Amino acid sequence: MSASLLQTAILSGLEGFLNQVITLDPAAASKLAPLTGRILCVRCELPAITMNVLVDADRLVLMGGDNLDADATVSGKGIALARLLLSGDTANLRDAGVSITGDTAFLSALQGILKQLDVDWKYPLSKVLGDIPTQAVSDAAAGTRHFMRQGSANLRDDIDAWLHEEKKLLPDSVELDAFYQAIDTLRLRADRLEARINRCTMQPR
Amino acid sequence: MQYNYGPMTDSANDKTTHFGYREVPVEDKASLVGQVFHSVAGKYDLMNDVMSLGTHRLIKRFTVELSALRPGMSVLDLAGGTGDFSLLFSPLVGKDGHVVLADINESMVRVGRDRIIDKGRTGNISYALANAECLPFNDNSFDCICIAYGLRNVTNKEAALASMFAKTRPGGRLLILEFSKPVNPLLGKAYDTYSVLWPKAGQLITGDGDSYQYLVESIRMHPDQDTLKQMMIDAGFSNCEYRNVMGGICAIHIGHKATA
Repeated sequence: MSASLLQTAILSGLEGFLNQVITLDPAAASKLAPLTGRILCVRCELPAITMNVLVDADRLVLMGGDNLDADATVSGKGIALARLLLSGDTANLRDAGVSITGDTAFLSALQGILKQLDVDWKYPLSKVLGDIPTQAVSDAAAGTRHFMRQGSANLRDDIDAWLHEEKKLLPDSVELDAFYQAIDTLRLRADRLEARINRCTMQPR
Repeated sequence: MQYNYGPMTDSANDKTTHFGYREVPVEDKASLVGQVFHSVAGKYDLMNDVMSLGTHRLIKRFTVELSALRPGMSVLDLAGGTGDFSLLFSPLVGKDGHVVLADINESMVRVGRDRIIDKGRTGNISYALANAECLPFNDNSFDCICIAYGLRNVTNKEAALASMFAKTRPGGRLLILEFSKPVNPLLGKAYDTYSVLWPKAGQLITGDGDSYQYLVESIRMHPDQDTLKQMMIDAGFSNCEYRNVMGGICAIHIGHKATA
């Protein structure tokens, strides 16, 4: 399978997945409808992949190729785009190496719809398992999620305490504050010294 | 111009042409091909999935990516059959554009039309029974004409290409997706061996092995990549090129109609 066909296969799979997810949120389709016909082009520079996201009524169409007339284009390196996708942080796009051209309002609207997807996965599951098993699975999933979240918070606290209190590998916040204060004082004194030297060297003899 | 590609003799001057490996009178080929597609129309997509192991859907998507269509454009999905291409073209051209699904075979158009309507896709797709050799549209009508897995069934390919050229708008393009000649001999052998199974699969699934025997034979009788490219150039298309797909089992030919 050639690289182009492989990319088509990946996009086809991704399109199927995204549309399946969209169908699980009844409100998403009506939000997408006003954007029908708009195209977002995602241009990854490294590796070189171009993906066009076309809004088609209540679904998305993903296509490769550079010859679509996109309303908005997001371009950057693969890592930067992946970071943007995972974190959703759009505050420092330039620093992250991501550039956006075109209609940013469309991009923002599409991002908002995808972020606000409220997937009702219980409905399709209940069609396979039935109502009562689905509720049991849902409760188990919620319990597991709570346990994982609590466990992760506890683990983070324990590691923090071990590094600071037991092993003394990291300074605590009081020491850090004193250290930062000392740096600030030193910087101010250095600035004053520099100003004084400048004044001395500029005075006529 | 005569093309020296195996026993193909389907120029207008000859009184016979090939139908698979058989030589038949020129005037009979269209009806024979028609019988094949009448017979398989209902299970055409299922058989395509079996024969191509599902890859035909990816190849079609890849072809559409090469169409350079934009909102508002018009496109002719020639030999459009069960409407796979029309369904892909429709969102690309949008509500201001237009897709015409055309096929010489009424059964195929019916299946395609029903399928498209069942998918809720209406508004920018219309349907036509049309012979590729004499397309019933105004000249310079389409920004893109696409014929997929259809050209090899056409009796007079030169006439069909000339007709497509006439109907393509200056600056527009022709896309031909068709089975072709594998570039690697080993792959060619493996593919030949696999395709021997198609008539048997066709017999099992559609109850009509003969139609799939014809498909296998017609693929082998079809011009190879360079021959078809030359035929496109002779028809008037410029900047012709082709892309092999899956090692040349299929090829996508692209030709443009010059603007001046």
